[in-house]
Amino acid sequence: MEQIFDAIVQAITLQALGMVALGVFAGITVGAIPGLTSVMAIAVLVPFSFFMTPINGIPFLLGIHKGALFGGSIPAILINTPGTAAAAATTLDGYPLAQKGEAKSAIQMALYSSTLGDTFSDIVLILAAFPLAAVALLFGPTEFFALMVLGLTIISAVTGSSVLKGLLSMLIGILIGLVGQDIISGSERFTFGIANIADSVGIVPMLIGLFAISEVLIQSEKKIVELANPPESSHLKGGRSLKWIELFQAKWAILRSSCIGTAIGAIPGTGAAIATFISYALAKRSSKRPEEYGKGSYEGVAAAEASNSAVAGADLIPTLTFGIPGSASAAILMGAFMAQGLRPGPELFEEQASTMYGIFALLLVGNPIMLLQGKLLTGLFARLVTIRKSVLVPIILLLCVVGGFIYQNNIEDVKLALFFGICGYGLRKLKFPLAPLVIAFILTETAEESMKQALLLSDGDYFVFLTKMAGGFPVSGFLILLSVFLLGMAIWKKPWAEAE
Amino acid sequence: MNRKDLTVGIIFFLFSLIYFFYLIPTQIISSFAQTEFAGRIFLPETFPQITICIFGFVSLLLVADTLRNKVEEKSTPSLNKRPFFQSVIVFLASMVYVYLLEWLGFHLSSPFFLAFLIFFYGTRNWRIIVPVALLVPISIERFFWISFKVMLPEGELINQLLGYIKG
Amino acid sequence: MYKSKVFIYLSTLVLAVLFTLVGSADAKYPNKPIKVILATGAGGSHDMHCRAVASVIHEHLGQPFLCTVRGGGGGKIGMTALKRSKPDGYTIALGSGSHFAIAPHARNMGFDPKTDFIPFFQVNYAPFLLVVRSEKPWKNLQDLLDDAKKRPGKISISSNGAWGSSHLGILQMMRAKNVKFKHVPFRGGGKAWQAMWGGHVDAGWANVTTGGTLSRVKRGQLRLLATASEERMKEFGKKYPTFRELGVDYIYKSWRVFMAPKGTPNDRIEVLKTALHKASKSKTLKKLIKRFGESLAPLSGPALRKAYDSEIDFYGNLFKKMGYKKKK
Repeated sequence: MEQIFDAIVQAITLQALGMVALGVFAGITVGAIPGLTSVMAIAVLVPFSFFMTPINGIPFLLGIHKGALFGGSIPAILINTPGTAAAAATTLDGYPLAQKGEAKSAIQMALYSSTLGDTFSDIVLILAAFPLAAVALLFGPTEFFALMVLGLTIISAVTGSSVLKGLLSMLIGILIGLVGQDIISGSERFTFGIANIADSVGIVPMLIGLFAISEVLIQSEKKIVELANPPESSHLKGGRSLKWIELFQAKWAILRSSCIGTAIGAIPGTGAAIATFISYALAKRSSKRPEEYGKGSYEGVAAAEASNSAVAGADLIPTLTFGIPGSASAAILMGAFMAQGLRPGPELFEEQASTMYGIFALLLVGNPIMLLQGKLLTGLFARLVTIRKSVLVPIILLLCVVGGFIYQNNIEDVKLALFFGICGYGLRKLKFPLAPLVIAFILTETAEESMKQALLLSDGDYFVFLTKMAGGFPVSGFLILLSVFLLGMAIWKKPWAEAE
Repeated sequence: MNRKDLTVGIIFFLFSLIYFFYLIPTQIISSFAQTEFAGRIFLPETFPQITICIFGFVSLLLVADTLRNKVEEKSTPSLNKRPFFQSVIVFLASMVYVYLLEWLGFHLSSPFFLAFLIFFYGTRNWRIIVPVALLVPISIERFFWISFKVMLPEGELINQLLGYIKG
Repeated sequence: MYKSKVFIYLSTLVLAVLFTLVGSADAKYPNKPIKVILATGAGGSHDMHCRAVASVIHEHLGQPFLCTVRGGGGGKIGMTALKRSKPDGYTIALGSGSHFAIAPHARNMGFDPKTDFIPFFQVNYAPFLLVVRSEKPWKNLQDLLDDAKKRPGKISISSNGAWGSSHLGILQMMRAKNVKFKHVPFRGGGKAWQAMWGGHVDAGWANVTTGGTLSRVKRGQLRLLATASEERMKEFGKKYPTFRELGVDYIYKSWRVFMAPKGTPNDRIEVLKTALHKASKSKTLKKLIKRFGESLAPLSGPALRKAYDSEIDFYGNLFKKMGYKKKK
């Protein structure tokens, strides 16, 4: 015990704190720019960490990871474009809030929820990494498929008023998700000879196009007079500060989402996007005021953000316990750990416990640092909406193009983004909801593969999804029944003849 | 009945037919592995087929739904000439910009792109246009280079010119 | 006012052109950073190796390496980008065996690995290992094969994708020993390993770093059945047999080799080669690579070229023997 205390005290030097702060700042910036991924940022900065001590180098990179998951909410709220795929659910309520002139409080809610979610998962990481990892290992193809099914039923919570259009949107998302390489048969599907989408459609150009570029096109329809003059809400200077009561009211949503985010983040192969959508939908179902969701609910923002930040800490669980990274950023982080001589596995916590505890301490400290930086930056970011649209929109469009290029150093991605820009524009004008499309797109790849893998393993037995035991518990069956239940509740509550 | 939704439903249905009968057979480049897996579910066509069938079905439901809805929609038609025209121009400008990026590079194309858009959106004051159009691209490029060593497009034409000059 | 606007635009144009001209006045090679294309995705051992080398190369070359990730299409995007880039020695790639030796036989990649590229320096390689969890009943490869004969199609092995490097290993085993396995493809080696470690499939593939395989084998958590290398691996004290020893002609060495586009002048390649050789002697680099669980195996010159060509031929033959017909 004393050893742990010593290790922690030794770790918290001014220099290390400075590195964490720098990392968090870089992370927020990276997250806030659509097209810049934390993967890329961490990858570029990893070599610097090679020459630092583990205590300085690793927390620096971890700070980036943290900051990015909060940073992604900023453009999601301000311009309806998630800065990272994980922030996709934040657009659902964040953007309506910004349009009502409450951008600042929305960003603050995102900040507080992100901090709380991340702290929660960091604590779980420190205390229960191994047990949780053991549970995560139970997830095989059968269980993954069941989880994807759960994710798809969630769509019913975000369809908006027209169920049919929501369904069509979801199906379009599935069709787009099917584009690329089929790993089971080795065939290429629907690539039309375009090399860029030979293995799948890039999520980042798609999001940039579907959300940001379509938004630019929609804004372009406004009257010139409206665009050229400073916006009417500019006197609000971006909005008011979040009231304590609003944060307090969202406490259950935050807690629930943190748990879900941590659980899903600990399973390698599931991403923050899945976690955030599931949390959002469950929050809506359990909320006292579900009708606010989609129109500017602080609870919705809280649920989405707490969840995706919880994934940040949880990501490290499979990465450090058995060396299988939960996401691309975790993969790079793992490389950085290894370069420092910190080899993932049980030895990590036995032989190098003092270093690890130092790192963990800094990881936790990163959260209040993020909170502080966030508070300072929020006002600045929220002010952006006060710039007149005729200047702001062109800059945003420029950033979209740059962002699309930077993602994979590929100009073809920009063309892809433009293509999705038109699609998004068309869909929005025809009043089709975009959220089902995005969720379905993200889930399709894993859903199809997992289903086929599970059937291969069960020799064609379809009942395996209900009967397979994992660790003495029918995990897959449970998730499927849960999905059916949730879907049933959704149908029950929504009368079919819906007035639009 | 909502004419827009009706059109959309019909178009989607037609699309699903095209997809099923034309796209699926031609766009799935199958590999040899088929014989390894017994069972239709494993074929690469299966999921697309199932999905597009459901899609076609739901689009028909949409058509049926709009026909059923007797209430005449009084909403203003949103395909107004001028606003739509504006967004088309912006989109075309973006396409031109992307093309220019490949040929002239980032530094040469971006200022023109920005200037055009700001001007188009109504701000004619060159005291705003010029600084923004010049400073924003440079700051973006410097920022990305210094922090992430990312290189923005340099432009094919410029490279070729330089090639000629250097011999 | 109109005139001054035009003036400003024109002068910007002129300045920009002058700027770029002046900037790249030709001095000794290399006089600006070298772009290294990574056709694999971000993260992953390839990326790490590239960045490790990049972190020390500056001292020996005078210019840094810029690792640029251009993943996608199973290597198609990155490698075709290399093919199309100017052969002036400022753009190279860190190639992977599956991209240049296997994928071109499986589908149309848009390049010919033998003629479009010049491999000039191998950093190291990591042979594939067939592993099972230690609770499993098979003590060696022969046990597994015997069991597979008794229960055809029941023993599951994961792979990193249909027609990928590990799938070929499974196919070779099945052909050579006339047995049938249940092949379960996953998207990538990491997921395939995870399925094996989680007990969802019976056997899986790894290299020494995947999931910490090296230390797990040493600790007895995993059992190594065979290695896809030419000789017994010294990392394991030469205790484990190779596939070839056991009658299965399968090698996969997961190369990491620096490649340049065809037409790159020889003298520039020599400069890079010398710098890389010097870098591979550097203690820092050795330490970094060791921490990844691997070791350096620098190779260049005609020996490398020979190995490169024979690798491509080997897989070409393999595909042909299986009757695979490449589409388009």
